[in-house]
Amino acid sequence: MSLPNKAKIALLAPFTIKGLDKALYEECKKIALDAEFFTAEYEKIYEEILSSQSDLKKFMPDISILLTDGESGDSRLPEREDIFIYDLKNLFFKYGKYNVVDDKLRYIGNIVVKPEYLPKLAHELMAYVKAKFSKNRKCIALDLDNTLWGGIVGEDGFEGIALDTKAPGNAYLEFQKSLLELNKRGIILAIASRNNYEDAIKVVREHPYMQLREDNFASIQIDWSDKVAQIKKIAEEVNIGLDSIVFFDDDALNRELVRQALPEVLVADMPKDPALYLRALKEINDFETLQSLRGIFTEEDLKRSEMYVAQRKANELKSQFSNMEDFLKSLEMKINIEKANDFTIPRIAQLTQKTNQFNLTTKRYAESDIRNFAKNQDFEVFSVDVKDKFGDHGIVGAFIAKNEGSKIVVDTFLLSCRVIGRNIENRMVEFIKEKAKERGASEIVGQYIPTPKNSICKDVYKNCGFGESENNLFKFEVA
Amino acid sequence: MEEKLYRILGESFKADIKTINDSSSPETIKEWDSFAGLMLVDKLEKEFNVKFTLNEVMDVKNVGDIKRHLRNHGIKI
Repeated sequence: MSLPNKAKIALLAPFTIKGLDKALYEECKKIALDAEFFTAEYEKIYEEILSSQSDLKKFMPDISILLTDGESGDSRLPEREDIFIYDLKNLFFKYGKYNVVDDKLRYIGNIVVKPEYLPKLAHELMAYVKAKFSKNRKCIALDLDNTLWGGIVGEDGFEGIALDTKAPGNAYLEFQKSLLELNKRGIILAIASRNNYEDAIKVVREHPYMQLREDNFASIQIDWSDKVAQIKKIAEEVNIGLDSIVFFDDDALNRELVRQALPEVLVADMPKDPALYLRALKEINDFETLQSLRGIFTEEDLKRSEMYVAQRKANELKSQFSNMEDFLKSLEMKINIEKANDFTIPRIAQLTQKTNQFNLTTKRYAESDIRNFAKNQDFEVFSVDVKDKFGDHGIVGAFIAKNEGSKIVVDTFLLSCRVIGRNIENRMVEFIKEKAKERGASEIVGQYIPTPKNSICKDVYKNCGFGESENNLFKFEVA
Repeated sequence: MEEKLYRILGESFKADIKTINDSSSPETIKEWDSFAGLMLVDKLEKEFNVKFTLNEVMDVKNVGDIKRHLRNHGIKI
């Protein structure tokens, strides 16, 4: 999805939400997103949602959020892919229902959320907005001393740092546990620490209370270079944009340094008190995806951390080879291409939504779109999964081919950034050629639609023997 | 205290303080609709550190009523 000039956000609630649009507008401004709103309240929401000619439909929202007060449990409102449901009980749980609700205002005016809590509610809803407009983040870069444990390992020693079940060590322990949970559901972790490598890595490897180990980190930067250089290195190694990174560091000077030099990085407002670290982490709602917000985690989400560690190990191996071919051979890669099915469709949709770099057409599709393509005789949808000696990378690529008479038009062709540089795309193009031959097609037409991020894949078709014609179209005549 | 109340009323209803008196009501102040009225309740409760009851809020027809209920809660106005 290309970023619209104005995000269109619909807010629906069976109670009064006057003022919420204003509060959400302010929150959107913080992430440089200009937004306009449609609001429907009370009984009107049923008509808006269910009627095909409602004002809501005419507004054509990019995202619709329906608020519920957790009690009504209204069966008139169907679960729908285009409407996200936010249950106020999450807000109540965080701030206390008796604080959020003034029953007098509720009885008289059906106001469930007191005005002073509207900014907090707006903050909660930003999880949906960030996920929808690809402003969410994938990776947490972590300092070590006084961030993952109390004290400075270089001075206090392995046994002198605070990390155990008593205060203050338990604050760091819980912070780590929470990070581990995020890591297990697919958030990438990395270390950015100014330290003696041996001192610090010994804690990571051997400390009995350490929750995060080497295999939880996709990139480990422990040296005496500055944090800016370390974070850049992380982005490079993990192959993600700086705008995918959240940085945690107890040192205010380091935070300021990174804020100034790398404005794309989200620098967490780390409190001075380690007792508040956990809360600071939980206040960051940048890690959700449209799927995780519905409680859906694809297999790839759950395996992602492992896969990034496999990638780190592969990169370490790569540095030992001078020849690219030898390196690829040593990886013992197995590429499997198969037709989309119920198990792979959610991941394929996710890839079309998230892949920015190696994506030839950058067409964004919802799960329902992919499902329709898969059912449609004129389309063929394929997933690509890759294994190598370091592990299973899962589904890392996808393509969609459309049969147009005697032509095959490649509608979508993409690869996850994790596996760029392994020539997997060549195998995918070969596969399309074989398919074309089988079908007796005369021509394959591929397209490269340039975006600010996808120049890396501009030559895919050229490298595979396609001839270029105008409009970034590439053609291959099937012999 | 009266000054404080009028300042809050002026802010809440975007109205000129000079035009507000005891008989000012939703009929005479344009911005005073039921929602703005409830927002005012919330604001008054915070600023004067009181809690109105459901019936007190329902009873308010004009600024004079607000003063009367503030007095009930010990505010000298």
